[in-house]
Amino acid sequence: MLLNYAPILDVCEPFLIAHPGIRDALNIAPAGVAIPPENILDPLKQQHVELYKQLRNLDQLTFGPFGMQMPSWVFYDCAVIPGAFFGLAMRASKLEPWALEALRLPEGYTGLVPVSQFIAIPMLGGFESGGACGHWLMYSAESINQVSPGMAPAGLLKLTLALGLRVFPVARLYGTTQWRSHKLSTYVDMGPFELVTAYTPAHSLPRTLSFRLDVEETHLLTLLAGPRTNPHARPPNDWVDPDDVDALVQLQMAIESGERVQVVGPPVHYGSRVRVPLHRCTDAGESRS
Amino acid sequence: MTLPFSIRNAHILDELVPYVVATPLNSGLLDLAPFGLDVAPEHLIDPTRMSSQTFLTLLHRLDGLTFGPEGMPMPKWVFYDCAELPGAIFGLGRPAASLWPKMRRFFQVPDDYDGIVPLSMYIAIPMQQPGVWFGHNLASLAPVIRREDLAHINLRGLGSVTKGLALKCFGARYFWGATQWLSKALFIHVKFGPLDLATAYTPAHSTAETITYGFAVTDAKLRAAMGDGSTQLTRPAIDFWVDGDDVAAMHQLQSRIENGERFCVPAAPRHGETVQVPIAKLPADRASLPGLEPVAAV
Repeated sequence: MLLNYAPILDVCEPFLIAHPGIRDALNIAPAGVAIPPENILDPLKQQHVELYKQLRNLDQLTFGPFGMQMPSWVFYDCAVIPGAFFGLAMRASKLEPWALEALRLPEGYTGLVPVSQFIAIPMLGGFESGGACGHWLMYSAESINQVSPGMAPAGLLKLTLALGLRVFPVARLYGTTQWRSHKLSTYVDMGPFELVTAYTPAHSLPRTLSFRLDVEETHLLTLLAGPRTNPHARPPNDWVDPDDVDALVQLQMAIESGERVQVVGPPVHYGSRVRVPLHRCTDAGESRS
Repeated sequence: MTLPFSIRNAHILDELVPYVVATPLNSGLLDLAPFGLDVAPEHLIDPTRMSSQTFLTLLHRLDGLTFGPEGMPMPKWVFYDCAELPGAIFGLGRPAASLWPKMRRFFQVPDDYDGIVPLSMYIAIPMQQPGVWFGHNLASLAPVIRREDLAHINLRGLGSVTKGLALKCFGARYFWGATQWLSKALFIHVKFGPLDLATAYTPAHSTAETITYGFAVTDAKLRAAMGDGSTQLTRPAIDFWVDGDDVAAMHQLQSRIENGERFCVPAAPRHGETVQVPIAKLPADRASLPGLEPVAAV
């Protein structure tokens, strides 16, 4: 499966920012793609200053347009100390001149330039069984292609996601995204996921959904293969318009009342209208007619 | 409400009641009666429910009132993604019906809201090793009350009490945090005892002049921090001081840490014309840094 993505690894290198206390829990050769030792960085050490600048730059470029740029302290306090940061990076020498200029790289810089990111942190509920944490929150997954298509190879986000999910010991993945985000299609390629929230006033953008997904190897394979219909998905029995706030609120109320709602396929676009396929069933598992 | 030990300002618990923000799965793993102080069921806030919207908006305003003037308010998505979903928020608040009128205006409490209004909060999220937590936000309205000349409201010590009860609620066995050398918050943090240093200069943080500090959590430390005079903490002697503006000294200390030496901040800094932070060198065989070093080394 990775063969289709091999060209990415011809120009990109995996890197990992993880302190020694978490490294033993992580897989540093996800899907056989070894992270070079020199690309495993310790955030507790005073090194790699320029790379951290580049990471902040990547975050600004990818999340800034959505008003969701990571506050500067969050990278340390809420990412690389409680969790870890995986990504793919290109050597500055492999970037085209326009890309070097767009990324505002310092003249003569020859180091790694991050082009994708995957951040995951442990969830308290993941300690329920008393052992190692199996529940992780992916609160950032992004690639430079989202804002500058062509700067890095195609398929970068999917490969980053597939490898990132193998780096962390994720049994149950939690995540958030906006209903209109292009990433919704990518996430649903992992498999049908269950909604934790459909409308989220607690978030800066209330039209945010929260989801959970029990991660299996087959999910990772379908993520990379990107079949038109995920083999694990049940047929949709409802569709929601992600621009219809009232509909999202109704869906949220149904979830709060105990209904289980899965997103079972990518959004479908009809002109300016968007519909997301759902499978809704009662807590007892009976499908909604 | 009272605690089974004395605290610096017991009046706080006459005025305020505890609340917790956590998802149902997370709240099941918390101590919802820290030191016997019950969190009422109606004050257990589920961030994934629509009905929590007003309270969470007030919580966001608390953050803005506390940190806004310094330019550090936390976006709501950070509250959600980096606090409410993975970890928990513990704090003290007051029912809207009995909230002081000026405070009501500060918070812009809706007329029809009859829930609790948060006046302090502590946010922490779990790290990968069980029982190890990272705290990233302590907010207390006590300084705002002093600044706004509301002297009749006595909430002195609210920050320390909130953090002490929060760490008990979270079941933290080891705690980590990050703060700047010049931060006045260090005064609160050292109340919990000597602070182990994991970093003294931190380029991974946007403010490199940041320390990463931690301590093993014990009831004695929590009680001492809250002002229980019957509990005394042992503090090592000061070996030297670091000027909070001396970046070269921070680099040097960081290099020594990276070379395997261990240090702690044993006591409160001195704030005068300069900020001087005391440092104690710890024995070479001093236990390592739980959560930040491999389990086998702990």
